[in-house]
Amino acid sequence: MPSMRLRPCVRALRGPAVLSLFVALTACGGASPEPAVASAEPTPPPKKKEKPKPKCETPEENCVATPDTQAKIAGTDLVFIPPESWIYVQGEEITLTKGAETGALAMTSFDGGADEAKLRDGTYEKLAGVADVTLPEHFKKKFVPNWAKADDTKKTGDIEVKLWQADDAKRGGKSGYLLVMLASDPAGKRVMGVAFAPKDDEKAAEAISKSLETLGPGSYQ
Amino acid sequence: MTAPRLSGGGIIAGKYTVRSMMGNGGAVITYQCVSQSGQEVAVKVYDPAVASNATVMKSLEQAYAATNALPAGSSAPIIDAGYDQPTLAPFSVTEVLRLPSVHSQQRRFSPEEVVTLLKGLARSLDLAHVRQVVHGAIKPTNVFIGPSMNPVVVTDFAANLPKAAAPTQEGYVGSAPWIAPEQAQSGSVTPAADVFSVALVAFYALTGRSYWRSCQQTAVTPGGQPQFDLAGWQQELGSTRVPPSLRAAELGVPLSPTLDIALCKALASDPNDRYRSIGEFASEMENALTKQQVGQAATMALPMIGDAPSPLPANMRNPERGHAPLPVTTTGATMALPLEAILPGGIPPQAMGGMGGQMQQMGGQQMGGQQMQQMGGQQMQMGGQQMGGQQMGYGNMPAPTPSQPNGGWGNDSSQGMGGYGPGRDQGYPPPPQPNGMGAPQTPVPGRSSKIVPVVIGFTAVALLGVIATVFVLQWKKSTAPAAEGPPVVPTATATATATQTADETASPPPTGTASASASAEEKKIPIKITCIPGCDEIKVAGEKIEPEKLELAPGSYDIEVSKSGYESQDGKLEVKDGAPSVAKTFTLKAEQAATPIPTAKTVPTGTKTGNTGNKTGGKNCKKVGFITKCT
Repeated sequence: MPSMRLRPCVRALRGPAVLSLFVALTACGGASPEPAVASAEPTPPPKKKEKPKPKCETPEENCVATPDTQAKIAGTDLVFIPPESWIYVQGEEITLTKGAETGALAMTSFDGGADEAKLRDGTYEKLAGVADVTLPEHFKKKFVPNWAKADDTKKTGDIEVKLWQADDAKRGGKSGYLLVMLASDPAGKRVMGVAFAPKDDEKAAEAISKSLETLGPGSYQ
Repeated sequence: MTAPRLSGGGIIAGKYTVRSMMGNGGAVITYQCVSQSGQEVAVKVYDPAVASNATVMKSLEQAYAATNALPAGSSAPIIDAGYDQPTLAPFSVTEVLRLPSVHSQQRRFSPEEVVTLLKGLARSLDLAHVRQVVHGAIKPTNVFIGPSMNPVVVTDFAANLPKAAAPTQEGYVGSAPWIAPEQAQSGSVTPAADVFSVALVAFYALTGRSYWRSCQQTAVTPGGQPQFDLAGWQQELGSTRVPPSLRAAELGVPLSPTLDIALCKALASDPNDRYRSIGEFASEMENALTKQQVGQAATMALPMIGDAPSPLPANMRNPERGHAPLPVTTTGATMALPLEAILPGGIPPQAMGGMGGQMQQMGGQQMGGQQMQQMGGQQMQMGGQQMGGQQMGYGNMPAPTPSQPNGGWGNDSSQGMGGYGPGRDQGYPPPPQPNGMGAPQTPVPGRSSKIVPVVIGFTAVALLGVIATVFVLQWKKSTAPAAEGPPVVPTATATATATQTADETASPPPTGTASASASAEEKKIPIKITCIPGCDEIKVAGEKIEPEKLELAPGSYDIEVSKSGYESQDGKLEVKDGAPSVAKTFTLKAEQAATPIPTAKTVPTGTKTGNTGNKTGGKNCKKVGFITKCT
């Protein structure tokens, strides 16, 4: 059998082979190999990149307000909680929040100084424009609040909020109430809001009123 | 703030040159101006603050639209309106009327003229009311009359609105003597307020004086600052009305008492008691006038009794001789107006003629003139003479006492006194009817027999009183033992008569005796109390019960049911003897959920919500839009 014939050869080579292996290993440095543990550790998976938190600064972001949402009012440290489930946008100048129907609230701030009256009137019109509210008109003149005398005053925290209301404002083809709010932040900046609630949607007026009651310094931003 | 004050030569809205100021109502100033085309116009300039009140501006627009839609010649149309740019004040423009106003005529109008005036006012005001526009500021300076009382032109529609939006002392004082009580108290302006003001204007037209005692100094001062006793006026406004004829007599002005009913009704404190329209008021005044004329014609055919008649009309005679007509009552209550308060120095007791020194009320019905009874003292009545359904009556009565303050009517014949029953006069008493019947009357022998029915009547009332007292005492006795019985298992004495019994038995614990309980056991009737949507707890006479096992003896029981999240309800359960079973159902209303307030979790700071603007203070408040408005 051929295997029987090879066996004496293998036996003859066994000694020199072991010897040569020993010599080769010694010649290579003789350092003991690394423990097997190191080589057994699995490779960590590549880290997933987290989606950046929306800044809610453009309408395209479609940010929907939750009870924990605090919408910034540009130019001031004050925030407010928009009505729940309303879309909100914290613009560079104006923060706008809109309901599913035609309810809307726009807020901003302006400096209270020598030009306050001028700034106030300009801000009022600007807010109404951004909120897309058509102001009531009488004698062909748009409604302007009697800034000297508020229709109502509320207090939220330490902030006094003055309120004016007018009928017959329009938004999205619906007639409703216009609300104008004016307050001052602790630094003396004026905060103004213009809101609209359709007459047939009491919830919108209620939601906006509650939202304004949350006006105050923010806890995080 | 007030409306901008402009001097002669000033320009309004760049097109109206001011000539002079016509009137100053504080929040509104009226200027006589010339337009660019040379037309003379009246320009009303409002307080700029008015412009910022959207509600008022809207109402003004509506009022102006309604004014221009009124029949031609019944109002002064608004020919222009807008804003004066330099002052931001709204303004409206009308033509200058070339007619005299009721005030500027400086004369007394005859009753016939006043009826025509009222009809003219009705033409414009009633139509405006139909269109939901209330004038709100009717006064003699706002009503203009043409020759022969035609046309009657009303100006200043909704003039009260800017004054309400920007209240000023001038505006209030200027309007005050002509506004209705509810207008003064709450600013509520309804068509009934116009009826009230029109009645005041009618009185002014008839007498040339204000109806109010406190406004006699300067009843109307156009363009000036009227000064009058404001506090006194407010007090008068809230008190019982003095019959206009009596008030006119105080002023030394003749006014027929036949007009009292119509005027008093129009001047009622409660708006609901007034006429529903100016037209209705005008008709009633006309009817009263017709009756007066018929009555006067009939009276002239009668022989005079007593002294020779005074050449003066009855209500112009010296009131100290007792000619002052009686004060009257308002609905359901005798008005106590001492004549001493009206007539300086009081009235000599012997001169106090009296027919019916005190109005009697029986069973809630006010007695008419022929039914007026004289209480005590000398009496003379000449009843029974029918004059077209009206009755004459004369009599003397003693001086008024504190309990009998309404003395002094006897010297005037009582024409037109009949028929003033409750259904007719709606609670107003028969007015005094002076018609020149002369001086104090002497008693007529034989007429005292009329006292018999009076005595019988009073005896009957006294007997009824005694019977009622006995009945009440018996009833109290019968209900007293029930208070001691057990609430749920009442004794036999707990009958269905006592609502109060159930209340009384609610507090003490059941203490019924064995025998009483035994008798009650026999009569117990199964009770089924059902709640929708269900009850957590049912209490009968204050004790919690198991509804499945409830059985009650006949009687009346207080039931109280409650369920978590629902408003508790209570009611009465009448268990009648012999009934097979009694069932009662309560439908519970869900409690209103409290408005959630943002918590500190959502906004750690500044979350304490407060509301300084909704202090109701007993006012009627309602949320409109965003803001709670109180009236």
